[in-house]
Amino acid sequence: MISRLRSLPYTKKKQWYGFLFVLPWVIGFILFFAGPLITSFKYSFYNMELTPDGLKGSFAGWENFRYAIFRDPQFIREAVNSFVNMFYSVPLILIYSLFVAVLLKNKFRGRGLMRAISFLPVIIASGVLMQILKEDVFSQGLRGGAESVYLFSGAGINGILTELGIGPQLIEVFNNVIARIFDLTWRSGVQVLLFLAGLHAISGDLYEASAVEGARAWEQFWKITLPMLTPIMLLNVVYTIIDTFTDYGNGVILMIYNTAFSQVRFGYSSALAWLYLLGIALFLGALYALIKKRIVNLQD
Amino acid sequence: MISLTKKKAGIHSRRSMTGNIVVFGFVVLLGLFSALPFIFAVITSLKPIDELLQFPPRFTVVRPTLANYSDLFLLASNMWVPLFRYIFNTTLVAVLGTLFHVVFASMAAYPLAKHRFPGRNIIFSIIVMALMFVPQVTFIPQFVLLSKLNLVDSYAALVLPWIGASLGLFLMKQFIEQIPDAILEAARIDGASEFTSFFRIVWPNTLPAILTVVIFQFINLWNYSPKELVYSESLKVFRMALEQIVAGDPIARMGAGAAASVILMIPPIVVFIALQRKVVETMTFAGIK
Repeated sequence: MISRLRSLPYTKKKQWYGFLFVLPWVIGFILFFAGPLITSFKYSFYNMELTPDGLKGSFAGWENFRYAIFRDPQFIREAVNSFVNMFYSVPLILIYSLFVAVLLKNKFRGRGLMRAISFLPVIIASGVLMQILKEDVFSQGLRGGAESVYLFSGAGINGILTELGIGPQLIEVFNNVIARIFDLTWRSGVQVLLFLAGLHAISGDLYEASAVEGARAWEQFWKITLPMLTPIMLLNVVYTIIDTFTDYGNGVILMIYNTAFSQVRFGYSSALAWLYLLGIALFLGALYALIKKRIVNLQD
Repeated sequence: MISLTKKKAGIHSRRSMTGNIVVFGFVVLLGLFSALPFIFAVITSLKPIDELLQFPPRFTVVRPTLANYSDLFLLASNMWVPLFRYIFNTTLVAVLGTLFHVVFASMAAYPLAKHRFPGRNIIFSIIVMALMFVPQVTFIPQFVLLSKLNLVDSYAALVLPWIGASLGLFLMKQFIEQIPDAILEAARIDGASEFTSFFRIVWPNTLPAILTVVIFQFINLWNYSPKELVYSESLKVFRMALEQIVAGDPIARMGAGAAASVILMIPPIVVFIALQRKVVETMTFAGIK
């Protein structure tokens, strides 16, 4: 087959090789993701029930969707919340991670160590430690929201502060601020890494040339680093938005999860997931169209 | 491999001393914030049981002990399946899953970024859409599918689905787009086949991105423990084993649990440090543009 491919005209050949390269992934995707995705779409029109002989469903038409939009007291409120939350947390995460990436790109003693440390939260966040921290026997009663980490809302830092003799109200303010900052470091590890990879891909020539012309670091940042980083910026914006929307602590995600696994309403849960997906997709589409024009591509 | 040997551009510090101090202070603060949970975990794992149960809990440890670690190994050695088997399982799943995902995703990303063929845009929109979907919802249909394929309770159930994962593909496509067409065209004129240009030009030039995906995927898989997909004791991964140990008696084994979480964190950290250095090294010889 490959030898026949060789004799084709170049443009045709390129197309065929394109297909050939995409094929293994597409097979995996269709089998393990697209299939289940379509099944869940089908579920969203059914009333699924767990019976002794497995999952059984009866067709419900648009009922699940209608219920979610017009009658469910929780869904719309949670969805609005997560959109509002996204509006302030995404810019914060992006600015913060860009800042950190620029800092960590500089050569200094212990850079490797600092990079490793700044990535620690990602390693921990997906690990067992989080569960152990959260399921800690004593923290159960002390913990406020599920989103903040035991260490700060619980007793870890509080203990130190109380020992230092600081009043409870001040500690509360302090805790809130710290929990916010902490949340930020917690959720921007991946973005920092992406920005770093992007920063390293910027050719050193540009900096050299501009330095010869007399540009200062500040100007270099705005006129070289930032424009050259726009493709990664787009990537990061999309990633961060998706990540914020599908974060496990997100209200809608929790609701979808609970509907499926605690209430065993797979049909309704699928309908919620698809509605939510539609919302995110519309939002991302609009945003993408908006910033696509501002992307700098060296090739053009 | 194109190695346009290039020195790093010298942006030598024209910053003032105070500026340096401010930056340094910030870096240290950031480091503290990021390292605190890890430090906390290590300290917790060193606490003897009475300090673990102390109320209100303290951040510091008064009488550090390694008893938790020895407890953990004692508990682990009493298990049915040797601990080594669990570690082997986790490593196998993490390495194979990462390999499949990275190779197939980057292969697919290359034509999506650089070739024009019919259906390209549709495939890419589907990828972005798949990223937005909540994994919990596809989980049940996926389980049904795996059980129909007779793959439940095998390594394949843990590894194969990653072939079609979309995050790596999405990241790789954005990075490959940045490789100038000129390099690829030059390679073609010199007689490189598509496979050659992919492995000799696209890979080396996007190595930082590839290693980034490797890091994500490895960490993800290292912590991956879908209890529903495997139930044979000999196929379970390290994390499930540790969770079982702790779940046996959550209060008395709290210390062992803390020790387990520290042990579990170490391999991803090592992988990260090793690869991160590699990312920096490759930057100096495989210069894009």
